[in-house]
Amino acid sequence: MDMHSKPPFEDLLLAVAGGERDAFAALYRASASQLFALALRILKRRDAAEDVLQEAFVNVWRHAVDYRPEKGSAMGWMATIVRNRALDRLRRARPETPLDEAPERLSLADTAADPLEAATMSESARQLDSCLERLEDGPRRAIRLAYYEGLTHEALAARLDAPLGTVKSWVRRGLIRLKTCLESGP
Amino acid sequence: MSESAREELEQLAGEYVLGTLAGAHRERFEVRLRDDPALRRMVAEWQGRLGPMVERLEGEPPPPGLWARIDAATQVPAGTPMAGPAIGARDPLLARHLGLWWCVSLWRGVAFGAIAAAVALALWLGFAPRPAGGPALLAVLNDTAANPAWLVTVDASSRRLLARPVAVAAIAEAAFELWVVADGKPRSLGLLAPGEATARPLAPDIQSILTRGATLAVSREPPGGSPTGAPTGPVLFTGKLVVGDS
Repeated sequence: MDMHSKPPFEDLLLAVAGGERDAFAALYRASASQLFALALRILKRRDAAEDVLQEAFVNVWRHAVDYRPEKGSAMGWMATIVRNRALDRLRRARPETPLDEAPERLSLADTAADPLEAATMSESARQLDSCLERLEDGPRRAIRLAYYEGLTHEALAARLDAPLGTVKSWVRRGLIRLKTCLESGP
Repeated sequence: MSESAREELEQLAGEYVLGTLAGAHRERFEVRLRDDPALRRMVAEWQGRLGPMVERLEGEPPPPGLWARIDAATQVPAGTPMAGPAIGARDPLLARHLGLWWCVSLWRGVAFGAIAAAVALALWLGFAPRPAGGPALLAVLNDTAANPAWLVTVDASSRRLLARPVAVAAIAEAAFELWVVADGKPRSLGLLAPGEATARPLAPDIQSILTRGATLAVSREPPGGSPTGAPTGPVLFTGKLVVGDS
């Protein structure tokens, strides 16, 4: 990917806040596939992921004016909107069994970014990735699974084949270490 | 707050954002979130920290037709009359919201009323640095089934109230009127349109009663608003003002 061929997400989102339709279309083209992948991994159903992505982008259009670049990356802001919608839908839809349409990419998400991948990531994503890599195996896997699959403590325990108490402590310890690491700077 | 209590909350906020906090724990946390600016700030910080994880995902192209749906849902078709052009002309932000008025039926269909959505949006609202002149207040007005319907913000520094519909269906031949209840007495804050954001300048005497904890309510009134100066129809939505940022 050529890093210079597209304006940063932050610029696009700020232009969207100004009501620019072209910027909105460009933002969609640049970010939709990653955000769709996120919704799909959490919901495991294409139809539900499509609905969530649509709702999320309507929200992005409506609320772009509320985005503050100094508080986090534009992609992170949009991912928050997508995850909130997806998690909300998931929690309400249970215990309905999801159709397992989504390809399993657990192994991919649980490894460090390769150099090519890292080159396309924002500075904050690279720092987060390096802090995650510094965690022990249990906490790291638990946090990544929870983020990418939307799993609760109970579901994590089942997936990681570990006692519930252990998983809870992995998540807690992992989050606190992550925060400390991120605050200590690059 | 003690250091250990703070750390405990910090962990809880992280788990909330990560999504591992579920069921009754999650609901209790969300209730607390609505009245606790410090906790909202923690959540916002965690959203900022964890958000970039999405960049690690390999993309999956959404279906080709999806953009057309989004495009249609965020755009006024040519020739559609705009409601409230006077506000829109002065305020580009609102002009954009007004552009959304026609797609109310879409909004209704997308089960958009979840508390999580309203709270998440309010959190990002809380990100805005506030100029001096008083904190911003916000209220989520719920219907009788506790579904959020309106997000109302009061900006003391610009003396402006902004009401945004989250999920509100229009009622034929009726109007929505917003009230603040002070000392048991309702004072009208004017009419709201179900499909668009409404901005309103605040007179000093009204602003003085729009304080933290004040109750806001929306009643159903005849077109043009209550003829008596007090609510005449049923109260459809209520909520309390909380501090949006501190």
